[in-house]
Amino acid sequence: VPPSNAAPAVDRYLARLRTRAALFLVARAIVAAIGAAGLALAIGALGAGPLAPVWAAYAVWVIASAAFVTAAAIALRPIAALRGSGAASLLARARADLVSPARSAFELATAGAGGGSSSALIEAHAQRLRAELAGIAPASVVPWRWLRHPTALAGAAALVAGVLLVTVFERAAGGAWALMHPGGRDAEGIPIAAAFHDVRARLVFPGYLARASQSVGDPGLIEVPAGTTIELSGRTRIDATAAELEIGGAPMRMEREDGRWVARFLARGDTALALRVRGTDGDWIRDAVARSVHVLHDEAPRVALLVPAEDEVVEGDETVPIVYEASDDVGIAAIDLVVRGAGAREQRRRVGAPENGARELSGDDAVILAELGAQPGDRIEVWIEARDGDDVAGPNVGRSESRWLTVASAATRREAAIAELAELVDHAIAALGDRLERPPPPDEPSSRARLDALRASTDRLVFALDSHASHVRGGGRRNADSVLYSEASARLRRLLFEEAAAHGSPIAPLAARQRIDERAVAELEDDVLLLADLLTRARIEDAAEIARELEALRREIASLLAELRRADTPEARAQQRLEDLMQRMSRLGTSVPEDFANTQEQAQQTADALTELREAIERGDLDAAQQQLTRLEQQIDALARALGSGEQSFAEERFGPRERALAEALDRLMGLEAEQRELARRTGELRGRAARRALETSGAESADAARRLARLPRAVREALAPIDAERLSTLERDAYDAVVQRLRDTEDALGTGDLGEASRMIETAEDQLHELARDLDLDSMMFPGHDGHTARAARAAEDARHRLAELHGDLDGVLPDLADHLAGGERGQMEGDAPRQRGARGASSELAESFDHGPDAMPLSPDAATALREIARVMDDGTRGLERGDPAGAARAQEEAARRLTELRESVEQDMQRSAGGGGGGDGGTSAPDFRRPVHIHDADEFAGPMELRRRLLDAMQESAPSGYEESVQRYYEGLLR
Amino acid sequence: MRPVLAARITRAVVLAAATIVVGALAPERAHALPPGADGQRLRGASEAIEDLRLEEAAAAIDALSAAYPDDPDVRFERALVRFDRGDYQGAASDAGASVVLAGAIRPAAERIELHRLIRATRDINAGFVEQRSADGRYVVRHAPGPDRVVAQYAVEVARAADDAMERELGIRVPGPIRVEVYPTAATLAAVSSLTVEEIERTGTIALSKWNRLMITSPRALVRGYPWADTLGHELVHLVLSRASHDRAPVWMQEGYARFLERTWRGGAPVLTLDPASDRLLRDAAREDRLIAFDRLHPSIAMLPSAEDAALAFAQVATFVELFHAAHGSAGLRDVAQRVAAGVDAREAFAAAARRSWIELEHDWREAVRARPEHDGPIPALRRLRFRHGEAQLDETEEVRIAGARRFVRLGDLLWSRDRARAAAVEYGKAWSSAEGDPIVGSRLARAALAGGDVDRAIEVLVPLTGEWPDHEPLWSVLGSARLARGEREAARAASREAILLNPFDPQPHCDIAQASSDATERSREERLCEELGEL
Repeated sequence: VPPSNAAPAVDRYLARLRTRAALFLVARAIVAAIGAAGLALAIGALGAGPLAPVWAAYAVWVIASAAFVTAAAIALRPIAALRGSGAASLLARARADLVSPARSAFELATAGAGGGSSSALIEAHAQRLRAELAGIAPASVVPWRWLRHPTALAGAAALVAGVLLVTVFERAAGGAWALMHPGGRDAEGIPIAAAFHDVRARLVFPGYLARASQSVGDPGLIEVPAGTTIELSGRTRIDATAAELEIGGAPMRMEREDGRWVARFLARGDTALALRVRGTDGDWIRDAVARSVHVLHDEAPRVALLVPAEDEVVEGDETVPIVYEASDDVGIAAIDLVVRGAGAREQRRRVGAPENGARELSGDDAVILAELGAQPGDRIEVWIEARDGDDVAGPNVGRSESRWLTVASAATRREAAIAELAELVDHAIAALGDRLERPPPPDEPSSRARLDALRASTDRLVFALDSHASHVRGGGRRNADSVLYSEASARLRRLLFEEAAAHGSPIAPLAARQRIDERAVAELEDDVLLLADLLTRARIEDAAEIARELEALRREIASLLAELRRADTPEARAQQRLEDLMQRMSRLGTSVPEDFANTQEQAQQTADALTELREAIERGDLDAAQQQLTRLEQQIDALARALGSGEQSFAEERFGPRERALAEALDRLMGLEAEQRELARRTGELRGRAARRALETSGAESADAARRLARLPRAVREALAPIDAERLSTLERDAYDAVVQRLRDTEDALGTGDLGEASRMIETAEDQLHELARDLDLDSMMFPGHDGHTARAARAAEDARHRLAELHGDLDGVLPDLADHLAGGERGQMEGDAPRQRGARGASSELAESFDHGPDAMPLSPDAATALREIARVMDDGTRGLERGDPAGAARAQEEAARRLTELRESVEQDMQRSAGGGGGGDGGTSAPDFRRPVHIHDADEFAGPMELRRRLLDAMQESAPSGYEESVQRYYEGLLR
Repeated sequence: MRPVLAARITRAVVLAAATIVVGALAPERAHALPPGADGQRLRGASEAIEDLRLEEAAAAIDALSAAYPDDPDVRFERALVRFDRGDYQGAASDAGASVVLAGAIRPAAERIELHRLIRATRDINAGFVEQRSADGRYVVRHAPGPDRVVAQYAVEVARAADDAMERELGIRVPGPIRVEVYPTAATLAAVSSLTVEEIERTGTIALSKWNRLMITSPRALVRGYPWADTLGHELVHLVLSRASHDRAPVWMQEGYARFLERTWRGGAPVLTLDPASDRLLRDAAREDRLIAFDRLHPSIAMLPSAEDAALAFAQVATFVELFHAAHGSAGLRDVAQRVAAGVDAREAFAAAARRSWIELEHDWREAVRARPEHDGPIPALRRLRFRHGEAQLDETEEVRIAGARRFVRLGDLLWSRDRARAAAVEYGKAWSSAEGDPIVGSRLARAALAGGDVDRAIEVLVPLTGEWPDHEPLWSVLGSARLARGEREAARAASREAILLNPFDPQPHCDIAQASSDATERSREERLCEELGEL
């Protein structure tokens, strides 16, 4: 009989039944054992309590172990019956009839054929049994309900009972911990026990957070914002006489409140917490649960300064917009605009204070640096600060990036002008380069393409020239130069037009286009060289100006040092001012243009001397400071000399002919002005005499006319109102009072209809007002006064003078025809003056031509030429008046021409002064020092001499000059005063 | 008052005052010479120093110093020996200790002046570093920094010049041969008896004295100068001084030096007179304005003008050239030996030529008058332009034709904006009115080369380098142009000429780095190209 697999299959089936049953038994045993042990432990914990001694703990563990073993043994006892064929008995529950066959099959298979049995029979039996067993699943033989055995149920019940015991009875819970940690002590030897239960933390947040308080049960880690008040409370499992909370090792006594031990503390930083109690025996016991606090710090607000977006140069009185945005994790309490100026002084202004502590905020504001005391040239740092409401750790402050605002000054304007000019030079070179690199091609398409390509760079140049001319004209700097730019632009436009026309249809021959190109190249070459020269001159002047500014600052520092020496205790403001000045100087000291590499080293030496000066002052060594100041003076002198000589030689070399031509034209203008004044004076006097004679014969008719003019002198007096008589010198005040009195007299005379008296009073007032206006004008040149008040007074006097002249004209208008009242000699004088006036007119036209055509065919000043042509037309009126025998009309025109010539002369003079790099008086302007001279600090007494000289000169100017030399003498005196 | 006069007066006053002080102290504290024969030996040693028999003097002084370590005269003479050996610290120490007390050998004024020189040399050399040849015979000292570039080449030039002297004059002076490179004219003036004004006026920017060669760094000049030929020139002086026991008069010294200064380059000696000097010489000969040879003492540098100095150089150089043409190097050696033996230089020349001096001089004058006329316009006399400060100098003003300056300026403006082709157009306009001007030519060539017109660049440069061989930018651009055309050897030669004028221009180094076939040279020039490019 071949071997069969039926018998092993039966064996395997029985083995599966055996295993399943064994597993179930083990499970029941485990449950029973755990339940028994758990109950035993719970009872033991209850009995032993939280402070269980070690021996008691071990005893409980022994009992629990015994319970475990016993319960397990009982539950596992049936497992022995499953060995061998015993497993077949398990089939009894499913098929009792198969128990015996199964046992037989197992035993036969185990015994084998050698036992005398027929193999075939055994095999047949096994096969039959296997067939039977195939329909019986092991799960139905050993079902899951086996687990609901009483042993398991008892064990589970015991376990539940044990858990309940520990849960319900705090003593049991504490005892359980003690059983788990028998004899536990901390590093200090203090017993550890589960002493506390029902521990709670009540969290009271800082007021600025505006959050409701919150309770946390049995906290292990308490995470709270800094400043949170934590109220930690709990009950003890043992009788306690005291309790403490250790915060970072420092004990805090806990109070008993409503059966709970309570402690309150403020969360300031991360710390460990520990509870401990003192039992009735007086020993301290530490609570087993470790607790800690983690403080969440409030973050600083984030701030961004959106506008200005970058560092800028601004005018002192300019309103600088400020735009910001800020955010905070909790809430923003305040936003400040902070400005730090020279001397590191900070000024702050609250620009936002949201009531509800908004988390995000944006806003805008503005600042005017001059109002904060910033001076031209100062560099001001601006930023925004935002604070949150954190009143625990102090408000957290967020700061934006800083922006540096430089208060516009002469230096910054010069820098800007130089940058603009440098750009202009670049444009010019680019236009020239483009043209040189693309000579005119012979064929039409290439030529047109070339034209288009060249136009871009040339148009840029033309635009830049126009723009720069406009800036120069508008910026009041070197007006005479503006014509250079505008003329160059005009010439280029013409050439471009011609070139465009040559590319019309049909296109011009190559030779013609080449001729235009040659002219354009020549023009661009001239422009490039001119602009490069102007740029160099501007840079030299800038450097020289820096030297002048350095010198001015040095003088001021010297003065303050002297002040500090005199004072017993240094005056804070003086020191602060000194600091400001030194800061400005240190900035200037290294800002010599890079073109002057030789002077760069000197500039560095200046900066070094300044540093040493600062150190000497800081340590209070005024002697050393004085020595350093002397060294600084030498450095500045050397720097200034180098720059000054460069300035002079370059200007002479490149612009000498032009400057000389301008000076010559000015000289001729002065002569013309003197001549016109003389002519106006002669006719004016003649008119006065004729008017008086006319009045004597006019009678009542003129009285009515006079009364109609009576209100006009008041307007002249009002024009004098800006003059503060208290600030005038004695002589000037006398003149002022006299003018005012003459005007009142005029008013009275007109009121009474006395035209003759009014005319005389006006003439007198005119003379006196003329003197006053001139004195004030000179004063304003020398002493601009606080806020330029002298300059304003001078302007007011000039304005009043014009109004008075108009009044005089009106008066002449109502007078009878003066021509009828001319004496014979007077008529002859007018006829004799007419050719003289025509000569002046011719001179005016010639001078206009000179201003229009300077050296190198470049106009000196088209504006002056235009003004002279207009003046020539006014002179024509004067000539006609003289020829007609109309003294009023002639005098009016001649005086107007003289006035305009004076204005023109002053304008040209100012322009030349600017060209020469000098400063002048005027509206609060500062007089630039002569930095080439050795510096001398003046005592107050030393001014007596010059002041006296000035006074004597002013007095001398009141004296009459030889006839015909009045204007010359006057200009001489003015020159001396200047 | 002219600054140089003021400086001389000041120096004279100081010297006089010091002399009075020394004189007042000397009688009380003066020592007698070492007694007897030792005193005579000291005098002999002093004379040996004067005759540049330095080895002989050193041996005697060393022996006397051992016997009389504190004798002031011995110490002062030892100071001079140490000074001539380059031991400036030791020399200053000896001179300082004995300048007041010594008195038997040298007058007080001389001692004081020497003491000043020694101290100044010590102070200035204190911060110097040195480069030596492998055999130690050639030592170049220089200020730390860029001058190391000069020093590298100077070692090579000194060796070549030394070999040439042995070849031409049969003399090999004892080593080491020391070369000192001074960074400015002012420092050279401080260590010599010249003033800065004299240096700048006459262009005397190198000296051979106190057994060493002193040259001014080419970076002290705007466009450098022929420093290598100058070094060769000074080495001739050194050799001739030693060979003739310093008895050769200045005119002979300068004649030999000018004639032999380029022999270090190899080949037979050839005099190359620049056209301006040639013209000066012919005009002076025709107008009978030649300077008497005796007037050249004590130094050509002390002649009143650069024109006089140039004429003097031309005179003596052509005289020696003529002599050499007739009698060869052997004749030159013969003259040197006769002068060393104490024969007057004129007699020595006459004896060597077996003719009278008058005949020799007459022949020379005739030869000068017979010099061929120079073709084309005569360029202006080359003047060295010293650098003052660090500023970029505007060369436009040096363009002789005023009308061309405008276009040079325009070209410069365009060039500075990288508009090479446009710049070339403007330089071309300048060239049309100032053809032959080296400043215009070099710029035109540079712009043409940058604009891709290599042939134009070379066409302009080649004749100019003949007319203006000392104008470094010409050689520099020519080297670049040759390289651009693939003419490597010619490029290397031109660039090397540029380096021998101004080694601080990085371009020639960069070009040689590409053109050279020698790996060692290529490596060195690459490094210098990089280093100088970063300066």
